[in-house]
Amino acid sequence: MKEKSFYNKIHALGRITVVLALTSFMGVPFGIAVFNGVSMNIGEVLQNAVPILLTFTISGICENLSFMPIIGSGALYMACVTGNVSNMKVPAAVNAMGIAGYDAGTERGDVISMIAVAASTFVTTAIVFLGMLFLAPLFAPIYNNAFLQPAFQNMVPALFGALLFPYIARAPKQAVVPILVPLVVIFIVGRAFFSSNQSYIMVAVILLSVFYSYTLHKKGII
Amino acid sequence: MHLQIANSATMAILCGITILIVLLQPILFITVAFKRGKELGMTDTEMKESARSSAIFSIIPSLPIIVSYLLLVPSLGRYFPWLRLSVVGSATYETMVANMAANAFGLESISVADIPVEVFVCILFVVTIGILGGNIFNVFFLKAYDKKVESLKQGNANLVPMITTAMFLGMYGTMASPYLTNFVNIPGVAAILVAGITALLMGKFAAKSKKLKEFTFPLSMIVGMLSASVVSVIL
Repeated sequence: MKEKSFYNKIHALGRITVVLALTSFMGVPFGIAVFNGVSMNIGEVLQNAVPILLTFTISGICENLSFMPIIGSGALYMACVTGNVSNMKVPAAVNAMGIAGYDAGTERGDVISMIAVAASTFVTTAIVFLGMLFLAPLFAPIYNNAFLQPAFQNMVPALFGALLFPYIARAPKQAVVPILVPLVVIFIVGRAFFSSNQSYIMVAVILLSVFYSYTLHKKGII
Repeated sequence: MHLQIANSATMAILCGITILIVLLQPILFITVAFKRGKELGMTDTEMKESARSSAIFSIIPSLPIIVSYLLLVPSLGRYFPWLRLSVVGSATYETMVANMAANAFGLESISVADIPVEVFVCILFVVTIGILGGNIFNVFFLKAYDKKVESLKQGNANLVPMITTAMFLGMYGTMASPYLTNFVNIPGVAAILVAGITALLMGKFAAKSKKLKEFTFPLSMIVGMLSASVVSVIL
């Protein structure tokens, strides 16, 4: 059982820093408007922003509900502010827990996740800063190089492969359903439907996977 | 006209301050995590190792971000894309939402040469607000959800590793499946398979060397990426 005071501390810190970050995000367009004497039409802004907000919120919630038990709340507060959650922050955390030898969902695992996500945030912020200063035009020819372009375009599948396969090897019996079911679903519903509803499908597959593992455990198979 | 504002010192300062405020969060959290780790009997070495391996891994996935930065600069200026790509969102999101907003305000797209300043400010607002949902959820509901998850774990502590493994497999099984079945993009299928097999092979060798363990994940990813290049050449 996690210690109460640490749990409260993480959530207090998370809430305060997220509110601070979101306020400063809003401060940018607001400051630009004020400094340039531009009148803001709040009604018009909201009319356009709210539908977009709702669309992204629903899938965002599904993802956060899925990620939290794996990387812990502290890491999730951070990851959501800086983004690239599924393709950088969660893999960084899971990899770090694997190297350190702590299980996800334990307090030591959460500590490692927080360190991993923080380190990942520093690196990305630094690289994007260098990109803005001078690196972006220098790096673009490497990215667009005829030979290397397929490599960069397929970075995400390479990342998923390197992350997922060791887990499948470690828990082959548990992996059967969560690996096969999405493959079957994608053939039934089609790629377009799958990709536009991926966050919901993911929640369903996670629940199914947990239920399946639990059943295996009950039957004494794992 | 709008680019004058977008490239102004005011914009640079506002974006810079915001990024500094955002960086406070990982600084505070990493401090708390090290302190808590020590209380739990974890060593400095293993915690530093986690920071280092995560930092090394994060370099490669960060590089495409700076290329997408270049795509946003012509319409949104130098500084706002810097901020947006440092925080939640992605080049795809920013481009899509900025375009939607531009359309709604009667512009053809975000790439028109001269956006009226009022409209530009509205676009900045819409892009900023559109992606806040996940964070707003965290502020209000993450604690309660965490509490619920904790209470489920209570008394089932020995099941936690099994359950989190099942969750992880469901999560990345779902995310990987579009790539595994995308037969139009064979280099992508190669990337996921080769990276996965490399990770398994390296994992066997890495059992003996802690140093190698740290590099297994980023190196497997790079081998997988390069295999996509090789397959593209062959095809």
